[in-house]
Amino acid sequence: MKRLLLFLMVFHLSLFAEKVVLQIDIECNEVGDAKIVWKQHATALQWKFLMQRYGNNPSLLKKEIISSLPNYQLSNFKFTKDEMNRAFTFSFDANGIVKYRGNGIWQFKYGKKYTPRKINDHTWLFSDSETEGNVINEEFLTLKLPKKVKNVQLTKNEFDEPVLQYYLKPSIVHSISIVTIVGIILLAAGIVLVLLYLFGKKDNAPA
Amino acid sequence: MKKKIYLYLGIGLIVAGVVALVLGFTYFKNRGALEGKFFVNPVVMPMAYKVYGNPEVENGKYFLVKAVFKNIGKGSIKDFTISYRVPGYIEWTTPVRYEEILPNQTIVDLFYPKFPRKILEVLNATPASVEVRYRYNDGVKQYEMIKRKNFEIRGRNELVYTDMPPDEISEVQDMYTNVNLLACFVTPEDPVIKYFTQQLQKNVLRGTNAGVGGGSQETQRFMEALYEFEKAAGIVYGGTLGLPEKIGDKISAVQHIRLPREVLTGGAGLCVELSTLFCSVAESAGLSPVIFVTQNHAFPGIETPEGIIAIEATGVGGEGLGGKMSFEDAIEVGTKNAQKFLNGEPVNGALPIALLRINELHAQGYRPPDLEDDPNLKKKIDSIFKQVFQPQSPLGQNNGNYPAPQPGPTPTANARTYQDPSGLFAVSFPANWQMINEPIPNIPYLRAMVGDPSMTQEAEFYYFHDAYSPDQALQRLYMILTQQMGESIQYKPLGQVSINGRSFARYAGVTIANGMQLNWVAYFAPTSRGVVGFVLGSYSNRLNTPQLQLIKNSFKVGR
Repeated sequence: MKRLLLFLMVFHLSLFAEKVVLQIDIECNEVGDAKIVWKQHATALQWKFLMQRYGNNPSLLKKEIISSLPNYQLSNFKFTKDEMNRAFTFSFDANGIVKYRGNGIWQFKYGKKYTPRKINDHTWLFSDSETEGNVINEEFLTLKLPKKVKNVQLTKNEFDEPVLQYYLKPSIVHSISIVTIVGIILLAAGIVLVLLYLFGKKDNAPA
Repeated sequence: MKKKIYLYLGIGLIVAGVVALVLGFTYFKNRGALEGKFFVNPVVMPMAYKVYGNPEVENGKYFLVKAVFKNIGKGSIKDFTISYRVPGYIEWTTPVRYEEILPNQTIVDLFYPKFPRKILEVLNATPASVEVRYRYNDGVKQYEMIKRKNFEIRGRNELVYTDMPPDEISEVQDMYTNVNLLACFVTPEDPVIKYFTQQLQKNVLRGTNAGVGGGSQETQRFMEALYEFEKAAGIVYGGTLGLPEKIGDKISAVQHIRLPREVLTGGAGLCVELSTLFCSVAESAGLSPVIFVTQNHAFPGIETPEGIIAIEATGVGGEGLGGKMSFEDAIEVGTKNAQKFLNGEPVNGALPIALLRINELHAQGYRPPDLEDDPNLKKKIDSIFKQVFQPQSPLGQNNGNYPAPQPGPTPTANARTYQDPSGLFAVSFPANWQMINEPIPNIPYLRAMVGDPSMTQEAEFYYFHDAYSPDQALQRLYMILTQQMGESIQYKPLGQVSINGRSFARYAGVTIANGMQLNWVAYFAPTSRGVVGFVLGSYSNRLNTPQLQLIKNSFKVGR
C-alpha cells in the first residue's frame, strides 16, 4: 500500500524533505477476513497532491489498492476526508487475509521488510521505515486478532516466508446440523422418560 | 399404566433420537458449498513471459488468474485442490491443496503461469484460454469442476502500456501502468547483443573498464563509442513517435517495439527502441542504464556514482529531423531534458512518466526473455563493423575521432513523370518503379501510388478536394485508414518545409498494418481547390534514399 504514496512523494516531493507516515489498522475476524482502515494525516503539500490525485476520484485509489493487493478479495470501500484537518480515512474489507492451515492453525503472512512487535496477546505492530531520496516513508500496520486466539508466534511457512501463526479452534456449532440437534433433543427426552419410569413413584393402583 | 407410557414413549424418543443423530451425521450433515469467482488478466505480452511467472514482481500484480472461493455452506469444505493449464503452452500444474475451508471463509488462489519460450513465436494478437480445475469434498460428496476463461496473447513485439480499462483512465499516468514492462525489452543477455558489445569494446573502445568502476569519464567514453558507432553504421531514428499518445479521440495503448537485436541489424528504431538498444548494450557491458519515459518520448542514460549521464539517442538522425547531432549535442540535449524530468517539469511539452532503472527492474523480476543465438545476425554485425571500419569510412580512417554525418542522397537520373488529372500537381519518380492510378477505392483522395520493384519503399500522391488545411486533410486520411481499414497509425507534425518554392506542412509517422510497419513522412500544401500532397514510405526505415528524395524534390504544385 505504501506504493500508493511513494509514487506521489518521490515524484512530486523530491525537492522537499518529507516524512510520510502510513498508519493502517487490520482487524481480523474468526474466518481470516479483515477490516482494513487507513487513516492518514498529511502535511499541506502532501494533502495538495493527494487531493489532486484522489480527492475527486477515490475510485482511482480503490483501483490502485485492488491492483497492489492481488492476494486478497477486497470489497466495501469507503473514503471520507476531513479537509479542515487534512486527514482522510479509507477503509475496506479484505477477505482471505489470514490463511487457514487446518487443525486450528492460522497464518498471517507479512513482508520481510517489516519488524514485528507484540503489543498484547492479540495485537501486533509491524513497522517499516525507508528513505527514497529526500522522503522518509514510515509504515505501521496494526494487526488485531480475534480475542480467542492462542499460541501466537512468529515463524516461517513452507516457503520460508515470515508469518505470524496462531491457534484458533473453529467453532463446532456450525458443523452440527439441525437434524443432529433434533436427534440430541429426542434422545435426551427419551432418556428422561425412561429414567422417570425407572425411578419415579410407584402407581397407587387399587388392590 | 401411566408409568408404562413413560417407558414406551421414552424408548420411542430414544430410537427416534438415534435415527436423527445417524441421519444428522450422514445424510443431513451440514455441507459446504463453494461460490467461485475468476478474474483473468485479459492480455499477456510474450516479451514479459518471465514476469507473469514470478509472484514476487510488484507484489504479485501480474497474475493470469485470480480465483476466489467462498464457502457459503454450513459445513466445511475438505481437501480442496486447484490446478491450472493453458492449452498449447502449460500442462496441468501441480495442484495446490487447501486442507479445509471453513463456513464463511474465503480463499484466494493466484496463478502465475510459467510460459515456455515458444510463446515468443506469437507475432500477432492471438486468442488463448486458461482452464481452472478444482476438486473438493463438501462433507458428503466429492466434486470436480473445470472452468475455462479466455484471454489474449499479444504479438511478441507488442507492449500494452496500461492495464486499466479505457473508462477508468483519467490521467496521463493511468496510460502507463505497465511501463515497467519496458525493461523486458532491454536484453543484455541476448547472445547477439553480447557479441555486438564485445566487438564494440574490442574494435572501437580498444578496451574499457566502464563497467567495473571506471567512473563517469569512462562511462561517457563508452556512450560516445556506442553513439558514434550507431551513427557510422547508419542506424537512424526511424519514426517520430516513441510512445503512444492521444490522437484525436483515440488513445493508443499498444506499441510495436522491435527487439534491440532487430534495431541493431535493421538499421532504424523509434526513440524507445533506440533507448532499449542503448540500455541493452550498456547493461551487457556492466553499466547501470536508465530510461526516461515521458508522455510521448523516451531517452536513455547511464547511472554513475556522480549522477545520471543522459543522452538523446535519437540524435543519430533520420529523415526530417534536422540531421544528426554530435555526441556532445546529444549529451547536452539529454542532460537538459533529464534535468527537467527529474524536477517534474514537462519535457518538450510532455509530462514525465517514469524513470526506469533497468538493473533494478531486472533484479525485481522484470526479466527479458531468453533469446536464441542467431549466427546470421552475428554475421550481419560483422558486416556492419566491416562497413564502418573500411578504409574510406570515418571510423576506419581515424579510429578515435568519430564520424561525420553521411553524405546526402543523389537523385536518380532516369525518371518518369506523373501529371495529376486535376492539373494541381506533377511529380517525377524512378523509371523502374511501378505506378497504379487510384489504387484503393476506399481512399478516394489517393490519386496514384508508386513503388519500387523490391516493394520496400513507396510514394502516394493525394488530392483532398474537400479539405481546407493540411491538418484537416491528414485527419480525413487517418479516419479512413484506422476506422475503415483497421490500420494502426501514429503521427505528429514536424513544421513547415519549402519544396520548389511552395510551403508544405510536414508530418511523420508510423503505420502498422497486417503485422508490417511502414515509416513515413507526409507533405501537404493547401491550394485554392483543396489540399494536395504526397507521402513517402519505407518498410526498411530508410526515408532518405535517392529515389524518395527524387520524388520529394520534383513535386510541383500547379495553380
